Amino acid sequence: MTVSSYLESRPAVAFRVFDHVAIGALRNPIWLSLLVAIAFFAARSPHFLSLFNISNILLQAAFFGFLAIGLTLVIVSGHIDLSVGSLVGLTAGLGVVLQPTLGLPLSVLAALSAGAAVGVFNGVLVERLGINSLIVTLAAMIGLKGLTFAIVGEESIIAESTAFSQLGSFRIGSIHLITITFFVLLIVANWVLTTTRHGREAYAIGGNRTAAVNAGIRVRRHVIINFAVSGFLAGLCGLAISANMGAAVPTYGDGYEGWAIAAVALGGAKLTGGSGNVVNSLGGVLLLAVLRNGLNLAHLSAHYVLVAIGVALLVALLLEKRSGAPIILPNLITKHRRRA
Amino acid sequence: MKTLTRIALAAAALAVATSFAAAAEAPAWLKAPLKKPLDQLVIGLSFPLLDPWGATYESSFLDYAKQLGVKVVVLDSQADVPKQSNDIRDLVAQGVDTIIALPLNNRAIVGALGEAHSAGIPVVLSNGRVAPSGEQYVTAWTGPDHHKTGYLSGQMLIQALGEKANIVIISGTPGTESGDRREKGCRDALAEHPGVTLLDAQPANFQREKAQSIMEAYITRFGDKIDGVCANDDDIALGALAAIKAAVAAGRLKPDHIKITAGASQKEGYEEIKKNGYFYGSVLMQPDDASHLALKTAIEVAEGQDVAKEQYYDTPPYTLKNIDQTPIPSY
Repeated sequence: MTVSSYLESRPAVAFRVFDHVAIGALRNPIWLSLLVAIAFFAARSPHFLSLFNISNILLQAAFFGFLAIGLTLVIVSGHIDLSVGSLVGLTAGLGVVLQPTLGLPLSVLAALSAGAAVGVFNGVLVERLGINSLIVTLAAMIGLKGLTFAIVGEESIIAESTAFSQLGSFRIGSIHLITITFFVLLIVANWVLTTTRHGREAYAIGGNRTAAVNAGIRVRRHVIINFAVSGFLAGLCGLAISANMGAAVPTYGDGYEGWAIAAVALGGAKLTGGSGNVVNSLGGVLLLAVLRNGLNLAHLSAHYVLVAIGVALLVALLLEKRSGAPIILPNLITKHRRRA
Repeated sequence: MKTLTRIALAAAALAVATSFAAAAEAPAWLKAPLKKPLDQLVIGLSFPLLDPWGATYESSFLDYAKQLGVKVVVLDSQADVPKQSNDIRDLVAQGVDTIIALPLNNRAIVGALGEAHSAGIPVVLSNGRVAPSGEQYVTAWTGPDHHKTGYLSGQMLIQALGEKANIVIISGTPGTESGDRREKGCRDALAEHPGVTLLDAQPANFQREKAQSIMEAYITRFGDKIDGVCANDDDIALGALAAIKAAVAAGRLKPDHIKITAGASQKEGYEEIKKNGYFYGSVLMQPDDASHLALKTAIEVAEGQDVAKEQYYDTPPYTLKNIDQTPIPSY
């Protein structure tokens, strides 16, 4: 179905939000890529479309999907957050280490607050001091990793609360509670980005910062909020992983920022800001999860999994380039140089 | 789509046909009748990290599987703890007959093993252990008897030094099975000889540099009183060796006196023992033996045969006397 025929087939007074999302989805090659990948692996392995495996893929997707939601917000407003992977390890550690002293509810709260606080810290450094978000969050990524090892130690820590581990593997039907939480948050984030003032203004900031400032948009506040959300969701991801595993290990989340950024980029968001949406980021998340799982089921070596994902990302970026947007990194740098 | 399916089916048929042709006779250790012919078995292996040791384990595992005509799926977690759980779920999803796991983290893996268990897929552990809460999901454990290797290293040391000797222990990582049990084994061997004095024992976490600095401290404290070093693996032994050589060169120790033995072999240590220097003996611990025992057990379990809950592979000790009859460590 083409975009125009889709438009004609719908009544003129259709829900605007829905149209916005649906058209965006049809325009984006990520969904076609996802369908091709699913068809390919379904043909390769009879187990691929089993209920167990689908719930399995969705769970694997949900873990770095939390990060992709937060990163979509940050990227839309023209920034990047590299600290989320390290933050996953830190918050997973905090959520488990604090359980014997604080009890479950307070330690969960502490982990989530720590995530949000790091996000605010990143946002403030970026906005108030005008330092490039790539550098600020790179520093946070390195520093938090060290902090995690200092708090958790080299070895794993077993979660004291059994309720915590039970929640982590709790399912409704065959779908994990973690997966459901992810989809609920995805819907909320989509609503925020498409219908609220914060969402609209975030796009405006990422699209043209100077114009946004001139239009009286409170640029700094919106950007700091997006960093806070990204940190909070990293905290949720850390809690989800440690609950699912029943333990915290300091290396949790290593490299997850790469997966999440890749998912958002695959979803067609320009890393220069102003474009992208969480629904297409979901497409990117699902494509990565399907590739990881499918290549495992197809008995391909783990090394080829990484190669395949690298190639997929490159193809996505080439498609983006063809659509007129320049390549990401140099552009990101010049953009900030211009700002300073 | 249809063509793709057809191609896939044709490929699958071809694969089945060739594997039938390649299938060897059932080995002698497998009791007849078999529940499933060997060439229809699929064994999954979840690996923590394909480091040099792991790569040797994997290649010997694949060779043995080929020789037996069994299909295998090997997944490498690349040292990512959550990924190992995902890998195990992926093995459950494709309905392998047995899952062999080398746990990267003994607690985090439990949930995924529970899912294998509830899907009716037996789990065989290789080398690593799981937390007590996960033991209910494990059909059999295979690996080296670390107490025995530690004990053998202690015995060799006394054999080299005689009944009256002062000994120091440099152990592995406290809290790990290999660290704790090898140290205990060495202590037990020394305790059998009343004339032997244990001067001190300290953990080097299986790190060569740490072992070297611990040995330097021992030399400063005890000097020529030290007759022997009981090291828990070759890495530790080589660290101690470097410290001893430096102290002898600096005139702080008398030459050709101390003997070192180790509780687990490495290729580099093997070459050192051949030189007939301070490094006296070690215990052979081959990744090939580990992978073969794990696969053999996994096949027996898949065929529904009774297996012992704990299975050890052979770990023979070697010194210069029998080194030529001992295979060179593959790692």
